[in-house]
This record gives sequence, structure tokens and C-alpha cells, in this order.
Amino acid sequence: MTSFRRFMQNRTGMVGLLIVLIVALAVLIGPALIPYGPEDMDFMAILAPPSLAHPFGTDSFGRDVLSRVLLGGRVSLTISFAAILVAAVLGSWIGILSGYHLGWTDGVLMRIMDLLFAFPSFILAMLLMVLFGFSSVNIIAAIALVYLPIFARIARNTTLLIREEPFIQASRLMGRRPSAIMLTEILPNISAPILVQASVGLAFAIILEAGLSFIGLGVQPPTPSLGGIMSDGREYFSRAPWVLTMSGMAISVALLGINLLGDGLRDLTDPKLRERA
Amino acid sequence: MSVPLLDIKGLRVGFGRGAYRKEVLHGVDLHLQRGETLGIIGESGSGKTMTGMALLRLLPDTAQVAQEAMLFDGTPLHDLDETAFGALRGVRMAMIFQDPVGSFNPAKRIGWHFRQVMKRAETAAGGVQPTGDYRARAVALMQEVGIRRAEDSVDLYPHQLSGGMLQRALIALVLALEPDLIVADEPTTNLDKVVEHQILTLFKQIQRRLNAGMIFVTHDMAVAASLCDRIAVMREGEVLEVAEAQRLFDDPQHDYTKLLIATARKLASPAAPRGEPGRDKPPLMQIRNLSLVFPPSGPRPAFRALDDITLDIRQGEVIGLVGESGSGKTTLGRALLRLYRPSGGTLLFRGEDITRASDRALRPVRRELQMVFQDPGGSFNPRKLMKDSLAEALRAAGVTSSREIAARTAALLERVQLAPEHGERYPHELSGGQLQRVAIARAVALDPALIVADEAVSKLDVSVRAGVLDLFRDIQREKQLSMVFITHDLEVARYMCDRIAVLYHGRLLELGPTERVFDSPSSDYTRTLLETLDYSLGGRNFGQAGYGGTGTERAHAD
Amino acid sequence: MSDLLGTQPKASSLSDRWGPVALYLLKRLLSGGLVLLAGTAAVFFTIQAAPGDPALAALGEQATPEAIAAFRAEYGLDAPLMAQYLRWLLGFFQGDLGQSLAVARGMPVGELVLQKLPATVFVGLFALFLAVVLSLVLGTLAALNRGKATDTIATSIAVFGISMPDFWMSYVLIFGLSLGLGLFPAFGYVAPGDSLLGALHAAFLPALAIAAPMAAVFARTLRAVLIETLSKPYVTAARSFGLPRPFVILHFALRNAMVPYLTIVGLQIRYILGGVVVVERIFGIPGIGSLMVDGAFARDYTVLQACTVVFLVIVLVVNIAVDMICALLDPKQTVR
Repeated sequence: MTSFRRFMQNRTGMVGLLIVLIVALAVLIGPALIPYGPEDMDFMAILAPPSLAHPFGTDSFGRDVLSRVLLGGRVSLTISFAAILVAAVLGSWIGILSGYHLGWTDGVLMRIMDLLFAFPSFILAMLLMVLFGFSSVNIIAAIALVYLPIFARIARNTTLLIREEPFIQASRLMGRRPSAIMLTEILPNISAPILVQASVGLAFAIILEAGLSFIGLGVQPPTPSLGGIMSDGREYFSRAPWVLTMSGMAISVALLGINLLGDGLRDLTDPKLRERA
Repeated sequence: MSVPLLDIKGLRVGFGRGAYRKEVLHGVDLHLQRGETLGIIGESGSGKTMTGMALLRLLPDTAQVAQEAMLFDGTPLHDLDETAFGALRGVRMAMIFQDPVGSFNPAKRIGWHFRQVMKRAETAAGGVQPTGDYRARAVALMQEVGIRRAEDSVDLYPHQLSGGMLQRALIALVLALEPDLIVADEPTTNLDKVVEHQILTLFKQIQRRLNAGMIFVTHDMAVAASLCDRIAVMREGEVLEVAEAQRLFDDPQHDYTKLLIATARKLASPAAPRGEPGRDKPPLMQIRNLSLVFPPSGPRPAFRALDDITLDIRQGEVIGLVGESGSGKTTLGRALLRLYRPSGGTLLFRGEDITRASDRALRPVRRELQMVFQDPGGSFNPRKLMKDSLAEALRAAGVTSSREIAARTAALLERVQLAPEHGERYPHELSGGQLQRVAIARAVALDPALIVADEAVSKLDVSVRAGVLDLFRDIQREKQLSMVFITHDLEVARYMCDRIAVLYHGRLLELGPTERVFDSPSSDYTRTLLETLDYSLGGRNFGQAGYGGTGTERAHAD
Repeated sequence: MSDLLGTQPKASSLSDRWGPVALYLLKRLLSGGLVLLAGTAAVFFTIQAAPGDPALAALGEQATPEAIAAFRAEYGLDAPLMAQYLRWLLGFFQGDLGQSLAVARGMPVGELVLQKLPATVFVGLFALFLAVVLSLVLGTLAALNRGKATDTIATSIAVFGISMPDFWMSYVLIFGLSLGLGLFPAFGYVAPGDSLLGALHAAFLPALAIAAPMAAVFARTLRAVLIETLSKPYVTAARSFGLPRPFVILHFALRNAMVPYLTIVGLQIRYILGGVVVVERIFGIPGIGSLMVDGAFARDYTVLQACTVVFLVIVLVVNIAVDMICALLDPKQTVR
């Protein structure tokens, strides 16, 4: 619990955590509290500017932008979170295996990761979306594949750093199985950098998903997504800037929260900063 | 004498603010005459390094420094602004650091450092036209401190030189300044003994030539005794006592000083020989023509770490592997335990060939071959309680019932003279000495036939070393197990071992009973190594005789 | 013990260092070639494995079997997969990337790519330049004033920067600097060959939109690395020799921070190129990104494949260039 108490003292991290909690709460229960559904069209209020009735205004179909942003946020966040979860779990496993066994296991796995890593992230995701279709599962898979090599590399590098540590050697000398050593000795001790990377990755995944949906190669209408709403909004950007602006701000707030939280976690796990405290 | 070169009164250094403020120096008083060497002795956390850094204003901005007085040659340093202070630092005051490799800019050649330092010293002195011929002067200085092929070395990058050569280069840089005050912070701690001896001699010569005052920070009693005129003993941010070197050893006042000296004396006296245990029994481990080559990786070429080593490890004996860094002693220790796979030769354990056994095949044998590591902090999973680490070892040894595990854990802790509550702590909550005790307990928990101890006390403070060594020895006798004791410290080797194996560049140079190796070494290299013992406590050149004798020219402080 | 043995390496002049660097370059080119080969194969076979038929995509769902067969024969889609790949690869090395199936039907994709490449390279380099300059200023200021107001402001700017995706940044810039202040055009592209100043003017907003989030990432990296090098013993040693602070910062701290900083810059090229695609679309820049999006919507597999490979080549070239700069900056890599 000492780690948690230290985190509580980290102002950046706490602000980030607060924003993330508010965002999570908003997208989870927000839509239920708003009187309009995301698909409810009000032809009396087409492109209405922000008002008390519609805090974020309405779009060209008279749909409430706040309601759409919250639901779109839920979709975007769920997809990004799932993608990073898959990438982190799979990537850590590959990385630990590589870093512990070295030799040809390492050679083969890491060459595959290098290959994945050589493609620009957005291009790779875009290509996969076009080829395999726009379902949510495919978006998750595409984003996960883009981030897989990053997690694998971090897990491998940190494993390499600690694999010669005396406590790992001591475990080997006890005659314990490699799988047990990887699970109980290595994994707990490399989880911190992976967690930090996951928070950074989540932010990038949100950007990636929003970018795909923004150019129309991600979540397909009528399902709302943050990128999709922004894309709608740019068509009447000069007449009704609030659609684009509000959805853009929503993305920024979510990203800000995640990035601040990530910075807080990084401060917490950086041994140099820890020494100072 | 007239004005002291340096007069410090009530120096305090603190970090942090408010409730988080922590004071690390609590009012230090020191003074120093021109031409005098003042040793500051202390263990980790004593504040000995902080004192020199505060003097040269090298502490980070977060440090708060306060003093009653800090006079350099009569000038109050604390009144000087940055510009005025800058005219002293790097001109009349210079510092030499513990890590010679880290002290050089890795992206620049050695000669570049000389050029920058000389140029800046000339500007600071003012008036003098830059001579421009920095290179020739650098070469001359480097020759003076004994750097071979100085004309070539001046164009090398720091990573191309050894630690000893870089420390010489750093001394040459200081020499270029001709300062009045030199602060040396553990300047030989990272160096091998033979090199350390050369560098210390050099220090004394340089100081003599410049007639500078020198503050020499060290944790090594013997070094301080041989090099310094007076010695200040520090602990936890306070100076416990200051005395002339000889008097400090003859008549220490403070209990802590007495403890330090007693520990050093104990290790300096050879233990009573006990014959050669296990001589008439079949050997536990037979090493035949063992070699090990590390394959090339990146810019590093292939490296032959072990070369044709033949050696028996007898039952119940303590055998010492002695050598300097790069001699292959640690590699040999790890190869014995099959943490490395030998490239050639054979390795027999109880007559069974384990040279190329797979990890899976080794698993049943592993338990019998244990190790205690150099770094106590890294020896335990930082996320496990000490008792859980012990329980893990017991489980690996086949103990299954949780009640028995609890009982055995408690017994093990007691055996290594720790309390049960130590088991409830995390590694970072224990001191180095305590961790090393738990590490011994963990090794013993597996009931091994052989324990390899790799520099197991070299990272511990001097005052706890003897205790841990005695524990090793008691447990070895009690369990009748064999022990391979890897160390660079000849005193530790003599104190612990029945037989000594001297390694040099991966080869076995000499092997024999401890007494024989120390009394009549058969190789020149061993003789060179043993000569460094002359400067240790009780050695021929210990104290004022050391490093060229300081008695006559010593400036009396009082 | 090398002190006793006297084994000391020979000094090396700068010209000696080109040898190892050239050798390293050769090695990197070779491994880059292998990655390219594996990459093209991966792209080719993934496209083949994907559901969906390029002929159907190009001709529409109502196409007759005869029309489809004719289409397949025309574009060589009826040959075995391996043969198709080898033919594609052979063409690739001769600059022939096949014919467009849909975007500009029948037109050689190589020509299309050559038309579009300069705009992408120009905007990309401009963005990279802006990101590096911005981050050097921001990161250095923050590290040197660690914990002070300047640091707080700089790190806050950086956190806001990484929280602004490039497509959203584009509209903020358009809204502020184009529609609001009328300083820069909101749309369009001028080729640098026609007017360099005009090109820079036109490309400023898209380049800045791509650069802003990257600058934030770079600045955070530089700050962290610089704080690390500032705490190295050689910095303390340099101060103890009285070397002036600006000199120590420049030649000790920043100099040694460059290699890790550039390494991160090289890795980030993956994300920069992603930004290029979206931002080209927003600002109407006729680049590879726009071409690839067109290809994606038209399901033009030859165009998609060609664009992906071109992006792969760009990443490889940038990474090799960064590695070379790092090798030249780091004597440990080139001098033994």
C-alpha cells in the first residue's frame, strides 16, 4: 500500500486519475442521464448552437451532440482499452519469453516484432481495416497488432535487464522451472514499465481509433465514435463549429487525463525519482 | 603556522523542505594546512562525500548549505558570489572523483578535456595570452603521471582507456591547474589493488610537488593510515574524532573508531591453519581443462574468459578464487554452478559429468550447488517478504507442510542471528549485512554440498564485514560443506580460505594451501599482488612509512 | 590489469572513423533490405489472404463471370500466388508497381506514386524540422529549470500537445491562424519547385499540425534525457574544473543527450507518417497519404500495396539515417 500512498502525493497523477474517473463515469452512466438518445433527431433544432437544452449543440440531423459524444466516447474508449489490453498481455508474454530464453526463440520472435514495427502505425491499421472489414473486433485487432511490438520490446528489454539479477539466478539455482521463474519472479518486477507503457499506449490507441474513424475507415455510422462525430462536424465547420469543437475537446480531455495519469505512474516507478523522495 | 589553508566550522547540509527536510551534515568542523593531507573516513551515509562537494559548491540546487565559517586561505567562501567563487574553483581548488570513467565526457577525446580546462584556467587567471600549445602541455603532464604512450593517449576517447589510466589522466588535469587545495573523493575505490597502490603513490608525489593541502575521502582504514597526516572519522553526518594518523590507531577515543580498527585488525591477522580438509576424500567437484568463450556481441569481440582451468574442489574445504577484475574468478564461480555453459573441458560433480547437461537435467542437481551474491540488494525479489523468499527455497528443497516451513524459516533466521520480525520485511527495509545473512540462510535452506560466495562482503560496510565472514565460516564448519570464496581482497581470502587459487586473465596461475601461497608465492604476479598487503594494517609499510614517508615534511596543524 | 600489460589501443583520427561507419551503414542497408523483402511479402500475402476479390471490388457486384475472368487475366491475377509475388517483386525493383485497379484505372501505380511522393516528403520533412526545433527549445528550457515555473509551463504545454491529435490540431490551427487571423491558407498545396516561399507558406499549417504532438513527445524525451545527463559525474567533474555553465550544458549535457534523443525521434517516424495521411486529407495535399486513402475507399489493392510499401521504405530510410547520425555522434559505436 505504500506505493498507493506515494501515488496519492503525486499531484500530476491524482489530477489525471480524477479526470480519467470523471471521463469513465461520464461515458458509462452519462448517456442514461440525458433526455435525448444519440439517434433522436429533432428537426426543429438542426445545427442549434450550445444552449441549456443542448450543452454541446446539435448536429445537421438535430441530434444532441453531447449525447452522441458520450456514447461515441464509450465506443472509442472501449475499443482502445480492449486493444491495449490484448497488446499488453500478448506483448509481455512474447517479450518475457524472448528475453528469458534468448537464442533462436528470441531471434524469431523479435524479427517478427521488428517487421511489425517497421510499418507506420496508422498505415498498418488502415491497411488491415480495409482488408478485413470495419467490425469492432477488427479495429481492436488492428490497433493491438500495431502496439504489440512496443510491448514485446519493453518486456524483453526489462527482462534482459533483470535476468542476470542475483535473485533470478538464485531461483534458477533452486531448480525451479523457467515458466515458474517467468511468472513469479520476472513478471511482477517488470509490470511497472509495462503499466506505464499501457497508459501511454491507451492515449495513442484513442488517437489511432479516432483517426481511422475520422477518415471513415474505422467505426462505421450510424454507430457514433469520437472520430466519426468530428468527421461529421467538419462538413459544416464554418456554420456550426461546435460539433467539431466539442467532440475534439472531448478527445483532448480524455487524453489529458490518461497522459497525466501516465506521468504520475512514471514518476512513481522511476527509481531515480523514488530515491529523491 | 599562520592562516590555515582551509577552516570549516559548523557546516550543515540539508535536503528537502518543511516536514520532508532531512539534514545529512550536522555541523562539521575541519581545518587543513598547506601541504597537509587530511583523511576523512566513514561508511556509507556518513556524509564524507557531502563535505567535499559542499566545499566546492557542487551539490545539486536542492541542497541547503549553511555554515558558521568556511575560510579558504583566509577568504570567507560563503560571502563569495558565483563569479568570485568561480575564480577559485578549478583554479585554486580542484576535485578528483571516485569514478574516473564517468568523470570524462564520453563523446570527447582526452586531449579535448585538457584543452578546455587549460584554456579556462588561463582565462580565469586573466592577463595571460592563451599559449595555444595545449596538446604539448597535455602530453607532458600525462607523461608526468605515468601514462604510457601519452602522444597517442591524448587522442583517445575515454572508453578506450582503463580506469587506472583515466584516474591518472584526471590527476594530470588537476596537476595542470596547480591548485592549492585538492579534494579527492574515494579516488581509488573502483580500481584494482595493484593499480590503487600506484595511484596512491602518485597522489602523494603530486601533493608534495604542489605543496597543496589535500582532503582524502575514503572508507579504507589502511589507505587513510598510509596516506594521511591526520584523520577525521565521520558517522551519520558528524565528525566523531580527529587525530594524527598514528595516534588514531594507537589510541582511538571514540567507540566507533575502536570498532573500525578492531575489525580491520581482525581481518589483517591470518586465521589458524587447519590442515587441508578433504584431502584424502574423493573430490566433490573436478574441473578439467575448463574453458569458456563469450561470443562476440555488437562492437565487442569474442572474449575468452576462462582458459584451460584444472582444479579440484574438495569436500569440506574453503577454496579462495583470487584475482583482479577481468581475471575470470566470477565467471569460474558461475561456470561451476552451470549458470554458464562451458565451451570446453569437463566439469564433474560427485563424479557425474555436468559439463553439458541441459537445464532440465540439471534441475535435481541444482539444489546442491548454491550461491551467495555480491550485491545483497539484488539477491532478493524486491516484491517478496524475506520469509517468503526463504519459504520458496525450502519448498524447492522438498518441504511441503506449511507449518514445517514456518518453523524452519524461523530457525534459519535465528541461525543467521536475525530476529523473526526480519522475516516480515521487504528487501529494501534491511541493511546490506542483514540481507547477506538472509542470503546465507537461503543457501543453507537447500542443504547444499557447495556454496559459491561471490565477493559476498565487498559491498558491505567495514564494520559488519567480519560478522558476516564469521557466519560463513561457522556455517561451513557446522554443515561440513565445501565453499568457493571469490574475492579480490587478499586479507579476506587469507582469513577465510584453506586453499587459494590465483587467477589471471582467465588462467589459473597458482594453487596451494593459503599459508604456502602467502609465504612463498610461486608466480611473479602473485608476488605483485601480495606486495599491496604491505600497506595494509600490520603490513611492513603501514602507516607513516607508506607512500614515501611523510613524517619529515609534515606541516603540524596544532 | 591492462595497466600492467600496456595493451592500449591506437589513437584514431576522424578519417579512421569513416571506415567503421561505412561498414555499419552496409550492415544496416543489408538488414534494411531484408526487412523490406519480408515486409513486401507480408503485405502481398496479407492482401491475398484477405476476404474480398479485387476484381469484384473494381467491377462491382453485378459483374459477369466472363468480365471477371477477363479482368483477372488482364492484371495477372490468375497466376499462382508465389508467381504473382515474384513478378510483383521483380517489377518493384524495376520501378514497376503494377497498374491501378480503380483509383486511376489502368495507370501505372509507379507513376502515380512518383507524382504524389514529393508533396508527402516535403510536408513530412517540414513537420520533422518544426518538431525538432520546437522540442529542442522546450525540452532544454524545461530540463535546465527543473522544478521551476519555466519547467512547469513547458511540461504543461507538452502534456497539452500530446493530448491534441493531429487532425483535431489541424482544425484548431485553421480556426485560429487561417479563418481567424487570415495568416495562412486553410487548404491547398504549392509545390516547392514553383515557389519555395509559397510552398512553405501553404504547408505551414499542415506541417505544424503534424509537428505539434510530435514536438511534445520529443520535448518530453529530451527533458528526461537531459535531466539524466545533467546528473552524470562528468558534468559534476566539468563544474569542479570551473568550466562555464553554458559550455558544460552544451558540450557535456546536450552533446551526450543527442544520441538517445535522436533514437526516439527515429522511432516516432512511424507516428509522424500516420499524421501525414490524415492531415493531407484535411488540407487537400496531393500526397501519398491522400492516394492511399483514395485507394482504400476504391479498394484498389495495387495502389494500397504500393503505398504501404512506399511508407515502409520511408521508415527504413529515416531509421537508417538516424542510426548513421547516432553512430557518428557516439565514439563507442565506431571506435574500439
